Amino acid sequence: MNKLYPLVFIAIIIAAWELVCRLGLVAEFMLPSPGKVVRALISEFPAIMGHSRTTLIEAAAGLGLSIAAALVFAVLMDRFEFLYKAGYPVAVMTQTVPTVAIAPLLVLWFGYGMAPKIILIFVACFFPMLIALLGGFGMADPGVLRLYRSMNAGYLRILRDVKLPYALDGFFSGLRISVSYSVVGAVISEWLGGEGGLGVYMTRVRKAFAFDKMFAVIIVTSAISLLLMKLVDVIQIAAMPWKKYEKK
Amino acid sequence: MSILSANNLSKAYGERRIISDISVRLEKGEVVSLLGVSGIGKTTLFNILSGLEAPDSGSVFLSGEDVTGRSGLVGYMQQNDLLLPFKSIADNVVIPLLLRGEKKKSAIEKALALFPEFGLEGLENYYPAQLSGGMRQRAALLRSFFYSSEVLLMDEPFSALDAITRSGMQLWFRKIAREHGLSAFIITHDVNEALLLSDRIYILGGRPGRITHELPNSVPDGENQELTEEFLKNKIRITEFINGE
Repeated sequence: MNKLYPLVFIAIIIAAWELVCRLGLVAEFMLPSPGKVVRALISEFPAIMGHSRTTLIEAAAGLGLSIAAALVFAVLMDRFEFLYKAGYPVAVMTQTVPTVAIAPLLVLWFGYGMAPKIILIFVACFFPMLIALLGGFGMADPGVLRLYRSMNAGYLRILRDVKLPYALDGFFSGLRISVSYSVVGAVISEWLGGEGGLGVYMTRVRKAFAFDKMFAVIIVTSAISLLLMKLVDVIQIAAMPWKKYEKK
Repeated sequence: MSILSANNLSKAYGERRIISDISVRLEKGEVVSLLGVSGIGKTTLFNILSGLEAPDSGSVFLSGEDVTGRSGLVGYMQQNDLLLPFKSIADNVVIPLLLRGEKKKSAIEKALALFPEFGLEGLENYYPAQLSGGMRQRAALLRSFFYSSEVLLMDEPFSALDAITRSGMQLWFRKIAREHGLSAFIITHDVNEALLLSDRIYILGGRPGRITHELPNSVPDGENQELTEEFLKNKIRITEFINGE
């Protein structure tokens, strides 16, 4: 029943949008009707899928690198307090830099290939992953940590047995945010140029004033983000089978 | 020779003295309770006995060897079961064996052999969240037992359980302790628990905490022993000792 509410809400918005277009309240070249957008989506589907592939490869590469780097930094910052004190403010600073602003610089430094795009996605995804992991390490039960220490367990053992599993909840929360950041980051970086990708496709259709296609690609971008977030949920359920027994 | 003894232990945090000049001993196969009100320094004493903290003065001896400030030598079971929620019961109880370098297969075999006695048969693949509080405490006790079958320190092990489960667990622990010849110190603020489980009782009192009384006790046999006249007399006597502090 709860899932019905947003579906009804979306249906109302689409109906209102269609009505606005049919009544001619907004010029068609500025706001194509939902029907026209669907027709554009169907006709352009093969091309959009081809561009999606490029975007997804960039997103996966950037996200994968950010997860690996966040894991390494989170472990080091958890193990060595001085690294936490030194690194945390720098990590916060990376979040204050607008990705749109640094994208042209990255293109200037690394060209129009995949490298600047992957770096931009990395910058966008690293911080949420790092914070999620550090927060997750902090969720480890202090009593369990004391118990492990009383049994003379070393840091690596505690990390493997206690801290990393306790961090899984936080990790998946961070991952859910980061997958959507990675797709959006890839599209933004592609606006600045390149051979392919949804952002490149968007730029082309915008220049051609084909706004029905523009809307079609926006829908595909959103759908990809939603599907990836759902995929994270599915993986989380599979990776944490004990969760279903825990009391809410 | 006592299996575990501590002489003249004192500890302060900053200006605040927590325990002062405490000497206790635990003989082999003996269950001894440390009874006292909350905040009297019982847990501090256990942290020192387990080597998690070093005393400001005094020494701890394990089978005659000075082990002051050395952790990892005695089993320490805390108030909460502290089972890892993401590990199965079998994987939880074998943690001490794995930390000692034992292969997982043989560790699990050892654990499964003791599961029936600890009332955990058939629950090896369950997660802690699937078990009741009593069952989780049994698993926690088996884990502590694997850590050290010689000396166990148990910090209010049954206090998180409801009254009925706690009573059942006390009877069960009494049986297990006798069968395995366990030597255990139990922290409790429950006079009934101390009388039901202990061969001897230390009463902690004062500020800073110190041993005010040491009382011998015979563990009663059978159920509902807490309703006998002798038990009630002992309970009144101990309560007076505690309240007199």
